[in-house]
Amino acid sequence: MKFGIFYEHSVQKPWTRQSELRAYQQALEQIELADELGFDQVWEVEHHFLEEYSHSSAPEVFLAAAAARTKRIRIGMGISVCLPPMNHPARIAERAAALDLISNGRLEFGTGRSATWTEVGAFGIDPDATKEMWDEVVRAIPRMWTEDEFEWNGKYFKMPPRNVLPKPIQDPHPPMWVAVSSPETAVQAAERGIGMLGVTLGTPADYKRLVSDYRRIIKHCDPVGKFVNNQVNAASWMYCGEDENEARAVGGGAAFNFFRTAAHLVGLGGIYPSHAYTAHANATALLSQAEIQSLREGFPVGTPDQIIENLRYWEEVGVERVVCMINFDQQIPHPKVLASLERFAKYVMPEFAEGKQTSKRGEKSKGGPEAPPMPA
Amino acid sequence: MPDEGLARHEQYRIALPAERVAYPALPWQCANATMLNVYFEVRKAPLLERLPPEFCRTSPAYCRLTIIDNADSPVGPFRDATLGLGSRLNMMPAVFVAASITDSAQALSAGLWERSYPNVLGKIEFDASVGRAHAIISDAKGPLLEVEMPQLQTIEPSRLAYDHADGFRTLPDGKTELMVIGPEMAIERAAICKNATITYPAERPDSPWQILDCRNVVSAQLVHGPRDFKKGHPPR
Repeated sequence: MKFGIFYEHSVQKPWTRQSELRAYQQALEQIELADELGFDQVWEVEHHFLEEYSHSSAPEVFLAAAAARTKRIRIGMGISVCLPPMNHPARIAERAAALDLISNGRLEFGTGRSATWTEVGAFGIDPDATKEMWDEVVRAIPRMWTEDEFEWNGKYFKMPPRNVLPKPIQDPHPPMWVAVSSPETAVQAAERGIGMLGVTLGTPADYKRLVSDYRRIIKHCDPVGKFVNNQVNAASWMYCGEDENEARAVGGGAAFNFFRTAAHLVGLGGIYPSHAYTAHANATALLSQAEIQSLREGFPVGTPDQIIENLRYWEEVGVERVVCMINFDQQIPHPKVLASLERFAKYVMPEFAEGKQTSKRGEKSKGGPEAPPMPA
Repeated sequence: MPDEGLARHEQYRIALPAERVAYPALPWQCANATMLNVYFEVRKAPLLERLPPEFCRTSPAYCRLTIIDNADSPVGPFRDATLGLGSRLNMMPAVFVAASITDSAQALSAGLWERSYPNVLGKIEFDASVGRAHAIISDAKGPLLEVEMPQLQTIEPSRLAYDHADGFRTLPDGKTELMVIGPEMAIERAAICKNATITYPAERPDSPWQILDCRNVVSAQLVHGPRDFKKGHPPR
């Protein structure tokens, strides 16, 4: 199993001139450390206008800085919004290829279509058409990367013959992914031969059906790219604590505040009835406070042993990569975030190293320090 | 953290009438109701000024306008309308009703004493056919707003869901109490309109119906089915 981290660039109120600067700079420091520690991937979202929740509207700029500071960690656009009225497809292909060059072939290219009225409405996009738009764009971009003369006459964009430059360094092109938060999209990812990038901070149980449908269908896919990326990447929340109580208080508290902010997003499923958004887009709002505060099953929050146990559950449902949020703005002090990453790398990652014999859930691992007994 | 509302509860205290108009016991089964519902974006400042602190605003700020033609009810045909502020109550989607109107004295009385809305008497013109819908809401001083839904397209009813709509009722001792009213319509048929408009036929700068003016229509629906006009209850 491989591990990564991902960033929304959340910035809580009250805001100062320094708030966003601090969020960006601390994220870069964390990514440098994650690279040194052996984390496999870093992903950054593309969101627009989502106050507090995500101030991450130019991921390719941030990820270029991350690439320049790191040597090995893979750089994930997670995701690039593939809606022509928001991002012209040629601009998406150009920026991604440039990032692949700057990172010396470390780009993971995530695609998606946005799930909030806040974003889609601001760009004047018809929500009913976003799935079709995404489908058209993901078919065009691999051709832009691999053809010297690209021409397109589609429903949502048209281009006369042009050579889209630069070309990515990865041959034939970077791995493609799509953000998946519903059963329908898991199937569509599989049909197109692209990776399933889970974006719901869910439990292994939530992912079980998505993964099994994806695995079954991708065997018979018609790939939109030049090769099939059949990997599954799940998203979760991680805090590797000093002890169970500290982990729950610090990691759980930050997770709760992240969910609380997410609950105030205006998901398309909430106020725009559409066949294109069958999943309830602001589903995080449907989680009860108690459920979040008790930490959802499978969340890698706790002592190293507890995290190993939880990650075994992910492994059992067929997830081979887990990418985690590691903070909500400054909710967890920066030094604690770094210490959590170090503990995770020292005690948890070796248990999932390639070639390492895996234990089943419930079996005692020799991963890390013992958790202290729970207080009375 | 998300912005909490800035309204004081007293803003929603109203002078109860000296005499209570008699009305049949709630709930009222309204067999043949038609609801016109429009979500639209508004500026955040006027919304926060009218949103109680129990609620938080969303981003962007939006309102839900609901106009219901109750063709059959225990008090005969009546119409009512609400202007709800899109919000979250305990992290869950909700609307807070900042203004309401009905053309029925009995619905008004039920609203005042047991629901929290409707709480103003006025006039509602409502016209809906297979292809279009149109409504005008007026109070005693004149028209407040007009809704036009020119092209309706049928949609699967299961695509629609509505949040609870809450409001303050005034108690006889002058205190206010937050009342929660869950979705009242059972959706049997539904249509959406992609080019709905909200316009303001006469300037009424003192009215919340116009202070919370439409900056951008998000979506509009026409819904048909039975309505359960029921009592409110405190948040659980």
